[in-house]
Amino acid sequence: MKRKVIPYCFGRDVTRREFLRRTGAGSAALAAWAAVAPLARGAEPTASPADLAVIRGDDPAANVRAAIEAIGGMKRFVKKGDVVVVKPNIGWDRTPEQAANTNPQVVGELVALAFAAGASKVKVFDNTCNNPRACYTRSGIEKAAVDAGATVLPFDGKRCKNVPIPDGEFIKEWPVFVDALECDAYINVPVAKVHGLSKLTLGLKNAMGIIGGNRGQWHQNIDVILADFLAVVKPKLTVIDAYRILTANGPSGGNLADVRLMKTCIATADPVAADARAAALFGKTIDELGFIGRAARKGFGTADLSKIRVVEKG
Amino acid sequence: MRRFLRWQTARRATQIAFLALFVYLVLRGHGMPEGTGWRLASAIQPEFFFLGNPYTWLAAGLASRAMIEATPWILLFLLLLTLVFGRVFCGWICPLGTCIDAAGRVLRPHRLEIKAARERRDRAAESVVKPALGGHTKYYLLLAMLLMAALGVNIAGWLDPLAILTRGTLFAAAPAYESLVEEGLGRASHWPVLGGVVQPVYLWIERQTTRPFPHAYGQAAIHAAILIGVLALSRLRRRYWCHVLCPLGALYGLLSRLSLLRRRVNKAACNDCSVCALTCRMEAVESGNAAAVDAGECLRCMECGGVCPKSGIQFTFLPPQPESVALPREFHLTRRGLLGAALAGAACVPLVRLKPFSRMGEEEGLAPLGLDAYFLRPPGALPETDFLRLCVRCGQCFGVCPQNALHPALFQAGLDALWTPTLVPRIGYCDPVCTLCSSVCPTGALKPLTELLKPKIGRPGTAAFDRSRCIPWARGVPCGVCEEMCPVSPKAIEIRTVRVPNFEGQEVQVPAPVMVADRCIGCGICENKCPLEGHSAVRVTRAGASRDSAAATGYG
Repeated sequence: MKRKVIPYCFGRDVTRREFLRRTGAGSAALAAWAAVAPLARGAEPTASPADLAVIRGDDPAANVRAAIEAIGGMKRFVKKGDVVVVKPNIGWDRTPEQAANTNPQVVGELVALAFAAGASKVKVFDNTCNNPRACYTRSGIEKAAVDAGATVLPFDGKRCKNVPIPDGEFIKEWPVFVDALECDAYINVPVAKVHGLSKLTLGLKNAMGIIGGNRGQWHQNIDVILADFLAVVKPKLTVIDAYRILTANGPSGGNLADVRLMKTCIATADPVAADARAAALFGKTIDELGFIGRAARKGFGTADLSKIRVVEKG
Repeated sequence: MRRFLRWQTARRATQIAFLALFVYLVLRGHGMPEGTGWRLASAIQPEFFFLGNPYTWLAAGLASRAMIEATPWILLFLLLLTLVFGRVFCGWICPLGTCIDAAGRVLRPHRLEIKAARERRDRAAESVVKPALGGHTKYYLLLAMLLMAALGVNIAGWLDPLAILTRGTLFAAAPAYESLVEEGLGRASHWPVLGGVVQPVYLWIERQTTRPFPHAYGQAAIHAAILIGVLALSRLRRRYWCHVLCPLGALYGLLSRLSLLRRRVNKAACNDCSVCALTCRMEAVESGNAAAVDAGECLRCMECGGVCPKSGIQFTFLPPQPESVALPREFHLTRRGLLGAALAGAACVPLVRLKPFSRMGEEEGLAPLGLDAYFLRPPGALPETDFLRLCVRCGQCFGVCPQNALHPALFQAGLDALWTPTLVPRIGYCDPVCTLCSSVCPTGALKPLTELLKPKIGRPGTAAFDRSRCIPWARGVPCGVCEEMCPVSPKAIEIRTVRVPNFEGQEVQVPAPVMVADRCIGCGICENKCPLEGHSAVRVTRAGASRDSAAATGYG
């Protein structure tokens, strides 16, 4: 199998082309969409999938399935034979109930969906803040991912490649984990939490788990670097896990009193829209979150949710 | 003869089994996350060999003037075993002894051994029969060490064979192995074609045989050199360490003199060929008088029985025939030697204890006031004086720490604290729910903790900012890694907007971290993750350590 290597996703309007191809192909996609469309609230029934889906429900895995289906199904993002990266937040030595890491069921479901769409290999990893093995184990993510067939890799600072950050204002070059660069589909699946400096940690902030180096430096101008880094790795698909969100003492958390049960899942191909929608869960406006505005201004996506088709369900 | 070969096979099998157990405990004697805490990955406690170590047990007991709590049954079993069978611990069980036997086979070929033994015999024939090497040195060392312990300075662990092997393997061999797995297999798992095959193997080996966090120690070379040195002594003579230096061997040797099982020689069969004496790895048998054996040296290795051309050697509880005799060999502990050892030990007490910094407060069991403010002990450590009396430098706590946070002290807390554990948060933070180090301490120098109690009674200290270096405070540039990492809720580090001059001298508003010391549990993750180079701008000091009273550290 020839392995397609995409060091830089920026500049390739893959989703658009894919979208056109699928609508051209016709009936299958239409039929799939027709099944979901009536469920969509506030969106006109249409022949094309939504840009962003917000699904609420009791089962985290079912929410993911419905959200991906609503935006066109996993086949829109994963081709047969693809090497896929599913990048959760596994940063903390916390249990799923503490909401410091991505919900393991969400990760497991994404891995399963990727394989169902024809992925040849699905890799799961994160550069953790706490003890790596404790994070992988206690979060339940390693087990969920392995059970779904994924290869769970330990992060290796020596397996990072220095890559330039195009148009980077604060940082021009940074070491990035090779496996995150060399994949066919990069799926970003963060958990939504509060954060001391960046106010919230959502999709863009989750990129800090694929970088090496002295990453504490990023905090010196976090809004700028988070937006600029989208030029290096722009996820094909962003799924924000908001089944449980951490509303205080993030991102490490630990206190169940700070956790709020939202039972929500957000999925979209637009990394900026994903964060903009998730910010609303915390009652935060886009103006409060510098990284969202900057990323939108740089053309990585849209922060104005009125300009895209949003499906809300549940 | 066949019977002896079978005994020797059994002995070698036992030796290998215990060595394998030791290696298993080194490779698996670490923590793994379970539930909300950590549990040991090994099926038995990694400090297994120290639970039955009479030497370190005695030293810690003498120094602390207390029975070490919960005298383990393994110790009683080994003492009983020695009283019945003799010094079998050294010959059949001790993993260092097994390594020394292996080293002896390589460094001391049999040919060389026999030649040297012949020379020894010829020398002995001319003069009084006396061990060629200072076989009694170990008894003097034992006396000096135990006397020092009784006078309150417990440095017995410096010379304990199990501790030497543990330190050598934990500080040098295990990190080298872990690095080999990571750099070798880990790299290979990413190779284009072979990688697919190697990767699952690598992931399994990484998970099963390496620590949750790769360990590395600044003193690796020192402890590797000590261990290699002990093994290299086998070039001078097989089992040189065991025969001449080992204080644990000395203790077993003294007990072994009372043992029931004896090596007996059939005088009628013996033709004084001295092959047994020449073969003995411990010089236990007297040359030219095969029936005379030093029961304190004889390891019951059964080798002499196998080499006797007349099949005249037996190991029995009772004499099988009237002509089978076991003569006691002359025991050369001299009054002068004993007195010298005792004086030397006593003289070493002030030598080891005196520190260049103030000893204020030491009588109350407090840390010396002049000790470096950043010198931390593991959570659960007793007050410094009690801690030093009990710690036997067995090395177990270092091995189980999932963060490589514990490191052997050098001289920063005084010579008597050499190789005791210190917590170095810049290298590894102390996991708030981990209590492994205190759970493997064989003497109770680290008080057993529970997850819930740890923040209260196992606090190593309190973190404090150095605002002259902290990025927001010193430069007016945002940073908050320490706040991000702080695991307590509500966080002990808060981000507040402050006005500070930046590098150009202009006042700027910047989010900056502030310590709320009352909430700090001293885990040190802030110190660990601070992005500054070199020393962190937030460091854990001994202030508020739960083992000290306020008077000890000068903080109210």
